[in-house]
Parts: sequence; structure tokens; C-alpha cells
Amino acid sequence: MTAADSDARINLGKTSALLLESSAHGLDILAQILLGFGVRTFHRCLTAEEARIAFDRSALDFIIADPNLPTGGGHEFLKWARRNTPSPNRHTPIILTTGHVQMSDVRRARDIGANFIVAKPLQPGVLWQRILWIARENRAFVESDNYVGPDRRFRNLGPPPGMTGRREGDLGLEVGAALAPNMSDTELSAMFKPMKVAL
Amino acid sequence: MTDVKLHYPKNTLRKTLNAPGAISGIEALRSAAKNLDSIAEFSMQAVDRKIAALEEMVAECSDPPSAEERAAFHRLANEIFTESGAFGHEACSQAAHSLCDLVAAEGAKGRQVEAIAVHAASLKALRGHGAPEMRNAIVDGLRKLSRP
Repeated sequence: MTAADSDARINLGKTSALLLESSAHGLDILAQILLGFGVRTFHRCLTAEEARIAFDRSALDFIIADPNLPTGGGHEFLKWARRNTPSPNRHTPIILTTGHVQMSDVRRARDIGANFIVAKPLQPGVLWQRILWIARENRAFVESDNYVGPDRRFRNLGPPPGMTGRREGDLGLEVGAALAPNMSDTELSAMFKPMKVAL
Repeated sequence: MTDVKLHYPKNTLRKTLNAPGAISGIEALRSAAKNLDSIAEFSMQAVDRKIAALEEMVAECSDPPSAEERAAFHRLANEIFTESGAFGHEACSQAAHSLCDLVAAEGAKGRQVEAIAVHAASLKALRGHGAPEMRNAIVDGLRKLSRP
């Protein structure tokens, strides 16, 4: 955890969290960590069905979910939560937790529309940091045919070489000819210098 | 060009930053560690029961294990890996992770049942007392079995 993260102060006392875990003991571990962080309202779920009911009935501030449930349906629940519901909870930040994973699981989790993925065993420091990141986050929310969730682009480096990009706002890497002469330093300064206006 | 809608929904967690009554990271982590300590013994007893269940499953499984049996082994090993790891039982967690690797491997070769049995017995041994060097040697040996 960085110094900035350990110095940050947050009051989670009035927040409401949905916790979806693959085992009762895993749920206990997660709940005890969050209790330590000051969270008081939990919706503890062990199945996708329980999660769907809690999602529909409560206003949520964040979701922490392990989609690999023994009863199945975890990925489908999260996909539904992002895409197929009019609930305001569809924009709720999601932190995915995963135990033993393969790369395909990580891609699948990312494409569900999660904000972050945290590897288990859960470490309180990592979870605290991710909650802080979400609180400070100002990422755009993307809605398209293929994806609904926070923008997966953390840095805007333009489309890959030779490609035009998939979004209307994507700019190519090649810079065209200048449309006007370069501005002088005086002209630039004049744009920033406060001046009196006579009315 | 994909039709993409971009917007900035309200982030309800933002208002919790520096709100009255806010706690620091140090306070939060101290409190979380204390809470975890309070359930450590009970939780590790549950891990012991899962290791015992693993041994029973090995005794009853087919050779080679079916896809369903491998999935059941993976689920149990994954729980042991994540739960013992959360309480700092590193060697036990690593051994369970090795078992996850073993049963998740595509096209696993023969003698997999024996390798699973060795993992189950090692997990039980690792829950007992033992020198750190011995624990590390057991985990290294298991890794050779799961990642030949």
C-alpha cells in the first residue's frame, strides 16, 4: 500500500455492500475484513439467486463477488447486473475476487464489466486499496453492444498502429499538417494573463 | 465503428472520502486483522475438515478421475488455498494451490490419483507442527508433481 493510500481516510459506515462468495467460510473472511473497514450493512450471498434478490431490493455502494460459485451462475449474475436491469445498481462498482485462476478466467472477468480483480487469498491491505481507488475513480462508464462497464482503457494511447480505432473519438497516431501558424509566446501568455475589461 | 455510449454515473463512494468519522488505512487494517484473528481458529478447523474430506474423496474416486471428480477436487483445493492463505498458513495454502494446478491441467497424464493422494497427505502433514525447512521441502516436492 502506498503512503497516500495509508494516509487516506474514509468512512464506510453508511455504505451498503453486496458480498457474493463461493463458500460460507470465505464469506466470513470477507465480512470480517469489511467490518474492520467500518462497513455495517452487508448482503451476504452464497448463490447467484440470493445475489440477484439482494441486488433488486437494495441500494448498493459496491459489490465484492467471486463468480466461481459451486452452484454456478456467478458470471451470469454479474453480466445481468451490468446489462439487463433498469436498477441504478447497474453502475455499482464491482470488485471481483478469484482464487486459483487461469488467464481465460481473468479475461472473462474483465469483460463482465468489473472495476478491479483481486486475487485470493484476500489481503486486507489490497482490498482497502481497491476500495480507495474506486472512491477516487473518475473512469467513464461504457455502454456498447459488446461491453457494459467501466472504461477498460486506463491510458489513452490511440489505436494500435495500422488500425483506425473503434470509437468515434479515437485519433490516429499520425499528425497531419498544421492548420494555422504556430502561436508566439506573447500570444500564448495573452491567453492566460488576466485583463481588465472595460464595459 | 461501434456505437458506444460514454457517461459518468454518480460514484456514491466518493462522498465517504474524508467524511466525518472517517478512519485511516492503518486503523482499518489493524481492525480487520483483529477481526480475522477472532475467527482464525474456527476457520482453520474448517480447513482441517476440508482436508479430511479431500482424503475421503481420493479414496473413492475413479482412476483416472472423471471431469466431475476433478472439478470437485479443484473446488475443495481452491477453498483450502484461499482460506488457509487468508490466515497466513503459507505452506498449506501453497500445497493446496499446487493441487489446484494438478487437477486443472489440461490432458493430465496417468498416476493423477496417486499425485492427488500425495497432496492430500501432505496437506494433513503441513497442518501439524514442523520446521519451516521441512514445510518448504514438502511444497517444493508437490510443485514437481503438479508442474513436471
